[in-house]
Amino acid sequence: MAASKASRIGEEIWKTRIDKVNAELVTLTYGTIVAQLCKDFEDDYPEVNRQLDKMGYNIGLRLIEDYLAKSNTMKRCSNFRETADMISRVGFKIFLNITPQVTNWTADNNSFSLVFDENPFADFVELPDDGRAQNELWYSNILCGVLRGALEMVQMQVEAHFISDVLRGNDTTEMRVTLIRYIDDELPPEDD
Amino acid sequence: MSAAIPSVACLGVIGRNNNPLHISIFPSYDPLANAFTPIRNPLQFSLLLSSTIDVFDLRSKNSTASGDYGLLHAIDDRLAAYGFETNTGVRMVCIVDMRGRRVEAGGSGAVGPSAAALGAGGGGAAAPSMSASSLGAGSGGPSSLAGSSAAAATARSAVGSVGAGLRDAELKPVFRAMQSAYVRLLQNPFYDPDEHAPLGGKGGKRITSKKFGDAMKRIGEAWTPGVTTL
Amino acid sequence: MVVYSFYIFDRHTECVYVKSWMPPQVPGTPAPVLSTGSDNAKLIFGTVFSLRNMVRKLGGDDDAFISYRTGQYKLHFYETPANLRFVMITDTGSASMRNVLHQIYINLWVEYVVKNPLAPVEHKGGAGVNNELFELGLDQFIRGLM
Repeated sequence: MAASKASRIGEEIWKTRIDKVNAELVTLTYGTIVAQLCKDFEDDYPEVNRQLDKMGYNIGLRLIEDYLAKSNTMKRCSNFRETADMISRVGFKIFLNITPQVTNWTADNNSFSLVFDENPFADFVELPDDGRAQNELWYSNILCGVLRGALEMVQMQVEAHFISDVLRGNDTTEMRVTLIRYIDDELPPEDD
Repeated sequence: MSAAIPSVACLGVIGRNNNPLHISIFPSYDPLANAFTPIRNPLQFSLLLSSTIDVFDLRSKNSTASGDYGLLHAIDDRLAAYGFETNTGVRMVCIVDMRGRRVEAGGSGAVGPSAAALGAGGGGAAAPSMSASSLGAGSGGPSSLAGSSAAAATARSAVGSVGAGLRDAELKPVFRAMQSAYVRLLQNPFYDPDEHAPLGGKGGKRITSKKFGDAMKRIGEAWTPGVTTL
Repeated sequence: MVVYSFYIFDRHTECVYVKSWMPPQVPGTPAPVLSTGSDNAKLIFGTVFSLRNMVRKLGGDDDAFISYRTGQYKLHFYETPANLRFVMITDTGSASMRNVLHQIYINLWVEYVVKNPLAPVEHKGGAGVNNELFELGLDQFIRGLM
């Protein structure tokens, strides 16, 4: 499916089928979760990243169904490039009203970057000034988990992680998504 | 020919427990040295801010719904403190230096009238003006507290003229901008308001946010009389 | 049109939901022999799984198995991209139920089961969905068709 068509679909769904919610409510809710995790794990940021990823994974497992229902998707993407376009132009569009850029493809078309020009989760946020958070915490790491969970449900095993974040002082916020393999259909257990 | 116009000398934020949350100090123009230097040292500004707490408390009994306290007190013929209180008990103080900045006369039209009004006020209180400026310029010797309060006392006669030089409404944009910066600070999930003003307790940590500090710096530097948005 | 029974299979090939609407016995006519025991669910899954694979092999990856008909009943099949499979068994005269199954997925399954945060995502070990709203909504929807 052409990228422009995906954009049109995303726009259409966003306008007509999505219940809107106050953006600050979302930002503050997510912020509270991250801040509380930091408190609960005593500023063990790698662990906070893991927890966020896990939460995202559980969200992704469900969110994909909502995505499929709202977008009326009947068939699979024909390749990973199409998948990337759908993630950005339909998925991110309808759930967060943003369309991160899909760039930096590897030659084998199995790995790409999502560059976030805006990130509604990170509005207002300043990372703790303890000398470690800037290097260890991936504030929006929940998004990696969401992608991993959602794509697993449509039979793609992927690995996703952030490689830069404006909150850390980088120029861009960039997530790297890599396809590991397509998961085969599960077969019914053999009868004894 | 040049004229002096008001500028922000200090912005202070005071927490619910009367604890200092934030102080930003801005240099004023010193015509003797032809340079910009703060007209009080940080300790003196801190004491000036503390002294406003009493005025807040006194006036809080019949406070206005808007939280705008207007002119709290005129410290001498140059400095005047204006206040604002949020419904959550956070106080914001703006200390204005009535001659903190220099403009070339005949520059912009907006600056002209207010500078002229100030000139008249300053002329009416010539003697205390001298003592105050010598105090401000005398950064070499540690100016005693008693001295500064005495200067404030002698300057009290000039209160009317200093207050008249700047309408309370002129400070509104400053407080509006300070409040929205404070709201943005609260929206940062890593800022824990309880740490900065423990319930029922005393004290509290200062604000360490760089963003908030930058916002205060921007507000203090951008404001001049007549500015409507910051 | 009569709907006899309805099945949902998850991506682990587990039957997570069964429901039957057996018509009241009319004296003198033989009842269709369609029970809903767990063996039947396994048989049905095996059948539709094989048929779907066969259809794809013959018609290409984008081809979809939609239904088959016997002398007694018609079986309708719908599979989502997340490998959730919906199966409905109706009388032989009914039209395509693909759209109906799609509606059940969108309006009932996603809304009531997936979006219930306290319900597990996967229904392992044959526990199946036990969701009152889904149950009621489905029953109402099917009865509305008949």
